Amino acid sequence: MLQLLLILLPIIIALYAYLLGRQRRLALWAAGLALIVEGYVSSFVSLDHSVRLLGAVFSLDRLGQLFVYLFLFLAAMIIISAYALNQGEFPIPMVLFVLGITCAIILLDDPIVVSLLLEVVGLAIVLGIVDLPQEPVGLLPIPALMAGLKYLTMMVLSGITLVLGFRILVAFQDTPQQALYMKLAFGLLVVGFGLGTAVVPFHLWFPDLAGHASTAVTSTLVALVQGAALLLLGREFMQTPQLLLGNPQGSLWLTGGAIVAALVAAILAVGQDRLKRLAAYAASYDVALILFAFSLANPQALQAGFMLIIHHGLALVLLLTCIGVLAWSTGRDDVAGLVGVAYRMPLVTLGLVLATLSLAGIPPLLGFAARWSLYGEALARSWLYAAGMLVAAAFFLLAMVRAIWPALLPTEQTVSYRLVPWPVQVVIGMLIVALVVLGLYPQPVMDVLRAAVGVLGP
Amino acid sequence: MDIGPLHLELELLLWAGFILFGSLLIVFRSWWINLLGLLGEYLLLCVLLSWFPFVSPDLIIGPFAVSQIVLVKGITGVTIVAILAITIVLRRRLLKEDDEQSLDEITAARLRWAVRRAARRGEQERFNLANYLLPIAALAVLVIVTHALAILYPLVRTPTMPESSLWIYVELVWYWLGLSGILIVLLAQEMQEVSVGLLLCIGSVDLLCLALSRGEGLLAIGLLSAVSILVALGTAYLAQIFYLRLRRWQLPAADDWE
Repeated sequence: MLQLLLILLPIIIALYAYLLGRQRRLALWAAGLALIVEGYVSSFVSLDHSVRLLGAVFSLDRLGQLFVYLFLFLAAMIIISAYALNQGEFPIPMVLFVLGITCAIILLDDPIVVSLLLEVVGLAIVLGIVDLPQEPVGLLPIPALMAGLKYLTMMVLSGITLVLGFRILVAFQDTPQQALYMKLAFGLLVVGFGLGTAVVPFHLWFPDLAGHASTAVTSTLVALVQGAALLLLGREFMQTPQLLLGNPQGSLWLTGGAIVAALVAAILAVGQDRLKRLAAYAASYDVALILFAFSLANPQALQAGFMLIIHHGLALVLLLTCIGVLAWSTGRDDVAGLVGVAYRMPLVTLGLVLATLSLAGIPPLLGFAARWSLYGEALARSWLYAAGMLVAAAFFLLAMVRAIWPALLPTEQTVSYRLVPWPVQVVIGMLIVALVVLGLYPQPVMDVLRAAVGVLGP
Repeated sequence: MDIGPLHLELELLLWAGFILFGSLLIVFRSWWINLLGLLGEYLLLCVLLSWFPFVSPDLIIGPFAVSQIVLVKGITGVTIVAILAITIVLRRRLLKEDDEQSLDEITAARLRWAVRRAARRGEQERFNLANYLLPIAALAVLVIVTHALAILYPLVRTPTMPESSLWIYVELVWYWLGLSGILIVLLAQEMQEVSVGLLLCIGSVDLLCLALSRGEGLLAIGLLSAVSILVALGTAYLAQIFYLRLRRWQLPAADDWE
């Protein structure tokens, strides 16, 4: 029953932390303890041993265990920075609740239930969106509420599209018209995942949301919710290879569409003057590349896709933490607010630069290690794919250089600022170390992924 | 009596009921009429589910034998309507509370002018029949599109399903709920209208999933109900904050102009 403990423990502590309200320090300690116990429990769960409850089967494999560790680490980073940067009362219970549901998503084998759980997580995050400590509830800007409503609407539409897609996939598996229904299910799944993970052209809700929510909320969304959704997608493509292989035209559209989506997201990022919106476009760009990896439907590309999900969480939480620090320290999140930051907050600037380089796939960071085999796969299909990936990376770099450049301007011109709290410095340091170490030595993680793709794959 | 593939029978009356309650949601803007429409849709959905051949009564409540699935759906519908009704009542109370801050003369005059102008516009709109033309036309198109889609692209009436004349109505109803939900979201002018549209979409998928899965997957059925309630709660929460914000502006909401 350890599997159930993995799911229920964070949810119960989330409820406790929510009831604690303004006793944030107590909530932090409870969350820390829960995460430690969760890590301990996940290392003792017997792998591939299943538990049946309410007709659903819960089991943990090596791939799932790796992602439980990743999500625990990211949740800890988000909670610490949200606490230190005073980002409201909701982030701690919200992150714990999302973590519990994410564990359920990893453990469950029923894609329909998993899709519904993703929807539940999305609805829980709406609570966090309207929790802005600098704005009393009655004075929240209307655009923030509208962004919340837009997000809620998109999550519901995404969830029901996924449920419909999976249901059709299961219901018509052995029928004579299977190919036709398979195409319909494929289309629904692509739209559902596109809406849920904010891939261009389904991205419009995300920059608005990121622009108004705290960075803790956006980090949770990017690292845990998008991570879990992409993990589900990768597993589905592994377990049902005919979804892509039996639909060459759809597969081609998905592959080409993912590259175009990455390119458009990177181009749109160039025009952003607010760092939070820029981070949203960065996430959209990165998700499009993960979608591209999965669309290639071979073991090497799937392995690269899973590695990119790990990278997605680490790099974007680092980027968003740095942006959160800047917003807290200088009181603004526009590009002009960065003037002189490199001299006053060198670690934050280093975090911004390394996250950018990793997201652009520059060596020796994790982004490069994850994409290396993907470049080869793309080139093997068509030089256009590889060129598209490189051009998208170039545009993304341009967008980030344009945004980070003011940080290097002379200190005299800088705005007033607050010193970065030491716990956040530790968080930034740990995320930087993770990106560098996994970039230089990705072998242990690669081995787990290779074994998982070998077991589950076609 | 034959009307294309339809026959005048109990199911046809049920389908007419769905259109009637759906039209209350699409054409009218009054909240209480909308809630009546939503409640009606949920109750008819329960009746339709109870006719499914694989949904057998497995629970005795007093003199009635009902299916657990139907009971869960009924409770979900009533809960959702109750949440939305409570939100409306609370909103009215919130707007009537007299704890406004004192304003300077110019701001107060500007607000009075804004309220008068809004009230005048509200009166003009109330008596203008043309305002109903677009929703009624949309409703007519929706009925035709639903019928066309149910015949051209069947998802329930497939060879895998057991022989029954019920499936054409299930097809019609799930298309109807989904399309009318999307239309309501597109035409929405208030937060809770969005929630009604989304709830209809969820109801549509719920019905289709139940028909295709033939009653399997209790966890999924329970989760779909939970998601519906969460959507109602989430939009009610956002709507409350929205009206709290409006109160700070000291401007009345659309309902108070009437």
